[in-house]
Amino acid sequence: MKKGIKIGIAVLLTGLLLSGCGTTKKKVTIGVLQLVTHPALDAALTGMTDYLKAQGYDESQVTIVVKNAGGDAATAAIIAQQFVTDKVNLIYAIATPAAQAAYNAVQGTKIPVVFNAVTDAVSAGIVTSNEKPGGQVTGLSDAAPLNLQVKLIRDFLPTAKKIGMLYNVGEVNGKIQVDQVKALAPAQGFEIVAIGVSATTEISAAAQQLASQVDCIYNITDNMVVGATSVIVDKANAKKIPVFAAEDGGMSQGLLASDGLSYTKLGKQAGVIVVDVLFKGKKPADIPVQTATDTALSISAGVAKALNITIPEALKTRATMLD
Amino acid sequence: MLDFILEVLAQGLAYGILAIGVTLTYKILDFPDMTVDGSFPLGAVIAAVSITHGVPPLAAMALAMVGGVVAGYLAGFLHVYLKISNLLSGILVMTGLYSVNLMVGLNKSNIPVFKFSTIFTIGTWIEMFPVGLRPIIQQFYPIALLLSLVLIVKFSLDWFLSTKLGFLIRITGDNPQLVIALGEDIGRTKILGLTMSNAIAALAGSIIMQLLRYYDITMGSGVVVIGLASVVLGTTVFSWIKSFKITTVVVLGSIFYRLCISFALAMNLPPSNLKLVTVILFVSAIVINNGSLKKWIVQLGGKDHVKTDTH
Repeated sequence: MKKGIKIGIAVLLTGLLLSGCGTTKKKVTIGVLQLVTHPALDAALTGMTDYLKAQGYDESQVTIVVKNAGGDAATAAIIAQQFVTDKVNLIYAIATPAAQAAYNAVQGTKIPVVFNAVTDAVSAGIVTSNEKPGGQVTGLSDAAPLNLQVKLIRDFLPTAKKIGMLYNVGEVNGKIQVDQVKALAPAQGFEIVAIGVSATTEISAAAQQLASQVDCIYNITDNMVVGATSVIVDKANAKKIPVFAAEDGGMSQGLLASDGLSYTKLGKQAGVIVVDVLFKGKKPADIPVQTATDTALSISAGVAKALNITIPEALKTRATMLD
Repeated sequence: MLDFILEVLAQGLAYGILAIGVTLTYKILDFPDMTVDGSFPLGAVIAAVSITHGVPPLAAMALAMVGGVVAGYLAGFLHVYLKISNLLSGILVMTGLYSVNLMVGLNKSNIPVFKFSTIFTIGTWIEMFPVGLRPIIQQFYPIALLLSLVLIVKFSLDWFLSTKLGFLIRITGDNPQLVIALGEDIGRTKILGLTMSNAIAALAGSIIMQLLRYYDITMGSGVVVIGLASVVLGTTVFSWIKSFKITTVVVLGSIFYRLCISFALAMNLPPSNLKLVTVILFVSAIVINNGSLKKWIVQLGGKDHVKTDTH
């Protein structure tokens, strides 16, 4: 009987020792703080996790804990604090208020933060400058390559004069992009007509009003506008004008073309920073805030035909053609 | 773990101030005031703009309250003098405030105050304390400060409600006919209640903005619901503590509300389920406390096995 107990203890101890050996291999935890469920933000997450897997950092080395704040700022703060309490090795924050919550929570700790889908990190107050973030926070700006987009519209519509834009007055990202396009447009001979909305329900009326005033509509990466793509396309096509967009997520909903961001690629770029910080000993303070390195051009042949628009030959070579 | 509990407690206390404001209209004045959805972020944006322009935090909070007073007065004015229904006047002011908040925020919907001093910033006074004590003070300072703020708001309102004017506000909710019989102007007491309630809501907004250290226009959406949930949770879950005034009970309700959310978060469920789980936690808490569960058990089990409750 006693012998049995002794053997039992010995087995237990050996087991404990072995399991102890297993954990000596460095295992890190990444806390993901996502503001809200949204196709673009989801893609920013999967892009990052897929990159880590592709680089061989699988579950045995990296634990990824994903929390979603359901769009609530106070909940985002609780999640960020929970990550700090759990001593995660890095916080990956997606969207501006999430990045701000993470920035706030890690003050006084050494936990690095990598953000994504923040259009202007400097005015969000989380980095001192895009070139030299300075603190423990860096990441990806989803500022759209707006000059490329305006150029694309000019290529498609050589005689067009007015571009219509819709934006959510309650989302800081949208306003920034509208102001930037307004600054860029005169160089290509365009004038911008922008209408601000404060709720999804207002988009239908705003799009209708806009469609009668402009030659085309350009959708920025504004969450509310992107979510209402089909309504905007509907109102625009009724007036026989095309809709362009900064991200290709809405191509199936009737956009003519998009030369823009892929949040999956942005997520992948974030993955590179995450690996640099966690495994290669780089400091976020020295990693500049990056923007998308490459864009993806998609053109819908079906929409072009329906609207009687000729697709420029020069664009066909680098574009992904869709029906 | 302690930090996490403190964060939940801090948010619970801060939103407790909002709950006190909401109680004043919904529970005491019996006025379904939607204005709060606008006056709460109004307080936040006034405080954020003031602080980023060098106004001391306490003065910024006073300015926020002034904003709340104006918002509440407008809602009351629409209802009392322009004869618009109570629900609609609140909705109208709330909707208008969205634009006002953007204007006050200089057309920005998100303003960080990370680099500025707030009421939660620990000043040089900490150097008066021995070095060993300082980390503990730093950790508990926000809670202590919030607790004092909650107590100040609570006792001020308790005191006010015990005055003659406060008594009028109370009977305006309970028995409007009596106010008229007393020869008092019921419209005036309603407006007074609304201005006070919205001033408290704006104060809560300015405090929560400083706690989160940034203002975002979306922080206003649904605060009426958050406030109401705290009121209802407080009055059902903590009603057994007979000696507590309603202003205390709703603060407890607010803390409980934040606890429910953090429990739902800690359960590691898919993000889409978060709100549903929060609701289930609410319902369970209420059902366990209001005795309806007992009645069900009684009915299901038959009256022979369980003694029926007198209520």
